[in-house]
Amino acid sequence: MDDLTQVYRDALVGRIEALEVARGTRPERAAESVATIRRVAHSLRGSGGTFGFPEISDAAALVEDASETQLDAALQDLLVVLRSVTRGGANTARVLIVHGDPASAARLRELTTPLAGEVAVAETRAQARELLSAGKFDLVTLSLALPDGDGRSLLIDVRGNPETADVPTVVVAVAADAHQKAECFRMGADAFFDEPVDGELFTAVASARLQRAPSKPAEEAPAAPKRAEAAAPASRNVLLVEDDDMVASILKHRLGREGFEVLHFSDGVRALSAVEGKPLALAILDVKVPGMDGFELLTRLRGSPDAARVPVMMLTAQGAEQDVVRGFELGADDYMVKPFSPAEVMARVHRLLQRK
Amino acid sequence: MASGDVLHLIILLVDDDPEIRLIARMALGKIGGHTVLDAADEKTARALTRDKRPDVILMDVLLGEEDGVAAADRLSASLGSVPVIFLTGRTGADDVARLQATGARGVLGKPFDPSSLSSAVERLLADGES
Repeated sequence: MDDLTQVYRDALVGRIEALEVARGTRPERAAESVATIRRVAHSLRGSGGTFGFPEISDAAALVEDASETQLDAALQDLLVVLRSVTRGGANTARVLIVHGDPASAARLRELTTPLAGEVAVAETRAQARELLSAGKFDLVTLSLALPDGDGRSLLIDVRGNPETADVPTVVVAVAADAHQKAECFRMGADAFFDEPVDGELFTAVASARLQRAPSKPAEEAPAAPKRAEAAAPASRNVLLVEDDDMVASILKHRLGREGFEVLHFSDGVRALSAVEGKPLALAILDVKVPGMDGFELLTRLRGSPDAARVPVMMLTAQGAEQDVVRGFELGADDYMVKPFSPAEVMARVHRLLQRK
Repeated sequence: MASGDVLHLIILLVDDDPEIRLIARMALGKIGGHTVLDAADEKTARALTRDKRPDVILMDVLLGEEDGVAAADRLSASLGSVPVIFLTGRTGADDVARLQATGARGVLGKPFDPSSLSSAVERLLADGES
């Protein structure tokens, strides 16, 4: 029956996509999307355990039976389970957590364990260096405040060593200001979390960094960020979809200063047709724009052959963590919460372009 | 049936989930040694059984948008009172009781263990006949 397991895993890719698309088209066609989600969940409930994945049956049952308010959270959990199963075989992801405070380290470990095969914890910079030289990690989460020095120097170590230069790295810190965050991104951090860390958000980001969810054809972008082809980007076009003029002008100014050609649209539908066939270096999409929301736009970009691999940054409103999570699940690479610091957003843009 | 006879059934399986049909075909056919006619809906089920009378109908209760219970009823009647076993994802006491009240030979839950699906079907049929 082992061949069947692989057949089932392959079939799950389509199910993940169906769920993401249904989720991405809410709330306009809410009733229809909910019905689709529940139907797919019902099917997974019956087949998961049958094929040897009881965790799929359990997670799917929760989605099928969820109330309207519980549905999003239950769906998210199901998607995490489905993605971990489609990653194939035993979860071999190794994660390193570096934190001087045992309670914080324990919390990060708790959040990370469902996503990884192995979680190692270091309490000092010295310990971390030892662990990093002893083995390969797929994700590093480090605190800026370490007992034996500044976490930033560890970040420099990680990025400076060719062996670990590509490892996705998440920085956590208490009360960091925009400039410190921007600096971390310039130094090569892939994400930054204020402590205490928002559990759901952290899980979404870590999960996304550990594995890019496959968008359409299975032969799409690989999980680990590619840096081998470090050639200059062919295009300097940046697609900006944002209907707030002030936000747009800040971004146009900063990006223009660095030689990018900003294609700005305040309407999702016009944006999509205008960039058809145009090479893009980057896309910055506001979650809420008239015409077509950022999620649907993202889904369509990821579905199109030209734009499937373009780095995408979502712009979200404060307090809308669900939007961030959904963005990652639909294939976004990063996000910025408005209002944002121009320095931080530019540092993140550079990081995004560097990683691709 | 004399003991020692290998039981060979013609099983009509109706389920709209392609993966379930696949694994059930393996479980009942390759492992169980039975002949499996599988269909995703009532219409296909009728086409498959035009010239073959199944020994049992294994029916998914939630057949996509269709009502599997009603479909089973119609199929069973038109094929000459063929026993029906329901496959369902909802195995609460009330759900199972409701299905048994329809006169079905049995109710099997999803998810199921593929390696014992065949013997579960055989057992339900044997019990029903005694």
